[in-house]
Amino acid sequence: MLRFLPLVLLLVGCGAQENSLTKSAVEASAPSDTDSVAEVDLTRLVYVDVHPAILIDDDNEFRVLPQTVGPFSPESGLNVGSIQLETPTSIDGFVTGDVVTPQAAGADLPFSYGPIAADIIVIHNTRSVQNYLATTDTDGFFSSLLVADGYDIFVVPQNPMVPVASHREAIDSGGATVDFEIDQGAAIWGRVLYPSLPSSDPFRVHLVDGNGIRSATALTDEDGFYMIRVLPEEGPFTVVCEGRDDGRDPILTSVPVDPNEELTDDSGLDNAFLGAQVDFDYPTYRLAIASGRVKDENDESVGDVEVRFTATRLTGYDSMDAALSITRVTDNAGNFDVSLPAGDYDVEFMPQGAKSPKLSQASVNGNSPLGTINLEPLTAVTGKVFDSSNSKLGSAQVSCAESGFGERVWKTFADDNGNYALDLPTTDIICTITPPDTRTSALTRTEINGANLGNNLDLTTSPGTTARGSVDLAGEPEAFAVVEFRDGLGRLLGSTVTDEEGAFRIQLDLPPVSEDSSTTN
Amino acid sequence: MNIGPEITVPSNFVGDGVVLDLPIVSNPMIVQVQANDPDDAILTFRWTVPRATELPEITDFKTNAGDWVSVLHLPAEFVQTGDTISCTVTDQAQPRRNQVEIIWEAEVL
Repeated sequence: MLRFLPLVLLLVGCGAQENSLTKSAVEASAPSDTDSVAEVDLTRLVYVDVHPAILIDDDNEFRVLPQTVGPFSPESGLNVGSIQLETPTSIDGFVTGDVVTPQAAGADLPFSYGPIAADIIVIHNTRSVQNYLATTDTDGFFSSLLVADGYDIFVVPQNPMVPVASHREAIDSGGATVDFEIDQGAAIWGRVLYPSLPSSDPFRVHLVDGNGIRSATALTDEDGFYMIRVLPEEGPFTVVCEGRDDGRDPILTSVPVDPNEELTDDSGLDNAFLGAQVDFDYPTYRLAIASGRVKDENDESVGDVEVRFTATRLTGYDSMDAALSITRVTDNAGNFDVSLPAGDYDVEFMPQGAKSPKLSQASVNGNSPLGTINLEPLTAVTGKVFDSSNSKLGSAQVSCAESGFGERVWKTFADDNGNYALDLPTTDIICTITPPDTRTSALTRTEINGANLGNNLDLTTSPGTTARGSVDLAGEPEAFAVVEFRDGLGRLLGSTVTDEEGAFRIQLDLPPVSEDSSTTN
Repeated sequence: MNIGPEITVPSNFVGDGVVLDLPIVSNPMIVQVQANDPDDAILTFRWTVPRATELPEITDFKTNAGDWVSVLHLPAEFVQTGDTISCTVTDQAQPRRNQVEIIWEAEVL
């Protein structure tokens, strides 16, 4: 079993260099399946996710786990070949490290050493189904089943005074043991300034590192100070002030910061003082109140309608990356009444059984009545589903999704004659047709302009291009496994099931090949 | 007489009211149901995930062999040990009478 200490204890002086060398060596030997697809048209990439029907055998042991192969970049047909499922293996290890106590005096930061309570995130790549989560126990031990492959392993301590750490590991069928020993790293710290401080309610602050991993949340003290420990090599770091618990403060996001750039060894200070200061300065809260009423087409008040305010510009925050979204529900009389910072807001409404209206960039200052919002009922739509040869397609699923607030979906199945009926909003929607026989028609998406939506909407599937292959486990065909095809953006291209021989065949609706498109296979 | 759906996956499903184990080993965890209808009626699937704060991805389709499949993509943050996840399979020809409910109890490993 491989045993590896990816992070050495970072001590005064040469510790930083030692740590850096260790990490570089890890990265140099690590697998990478994402770099090669960076410049490829993601809509033309095809990933194949295999979901076996039976994961656990008669002895209550895992016989197999879901697995992803690809990406492929087919130009006409796609023969995936034989997908060999792996029997599961495992990763385990211990997480130990330093918990810094920042208030103590002295040149070196005092800390306690021991097991670290942390979440373990194991990621093959973000487009894969081979992603796993684990949590350490009281001894700092973790373990997880997985499919042998290359993985990024992230340790996310539950205490923000312990840095997030990562390691890349190629795990073979024998499994792996990866121990993490996390040093105290450097501090990203600062003060949240607010006109009414001192505040009894602390502000919540977290970081997002260069890998997109979010740290635990730190709370400001009674003077508004916060601190989060980081390993500088995991940067740059974006600092996010979430505001207080009541949800009325805008979320402020810093520019990316690199602790190494703030103080270096040339400063004469030791590594324990490496870090970066990031302050947040909230302007004076300019209270505004937005109110209004929601009515249906019969002029009746409508209660229980979700109303979401999303700031497009906040007064006093012009030089900051500030975001705010507040959701309320109308009362029984259809009224809503919201206190929020002054600014411009997109106001969206999500009623049951009606179109979702939207007020774009409504100005909210002082007392701002938004008036009466009149709901439009859904439109009764009927139509037929056809295949590419213009034959009626019975048992096809028709699923129509609106974009924006709620992302509501309406779906039904066409009858034997291809007829379907749905109540749909007269807004922009995407209708997806899932054909009953994926050997002759492809899952097809059609964008519908809401302004053109009438009472009749016929839909036609694409003939698509053929993808085929088979699935084996230990040399035996794997029957009844669900095989899903997705593009590089994660959109489903089609689903099928392996037959008793483990074989599958499906039509995929892929975009046409452009002359300058790159390929990866 | 119209006959209700027959569940083929999960293969250890024996009938209504029996709770199956659902070990959570990946993120998302994939839960699937495969069923057929002896009368060739359309089958629909309704999933219940108590802790879901938004609609998880669900794909439903009919296979080339005529079976119906529903696949739930269950994000790890939507499930904890002890949670009950269920899927109700309904025969659209007799939706009130011909329903089968499959129930799992989750265990986060």
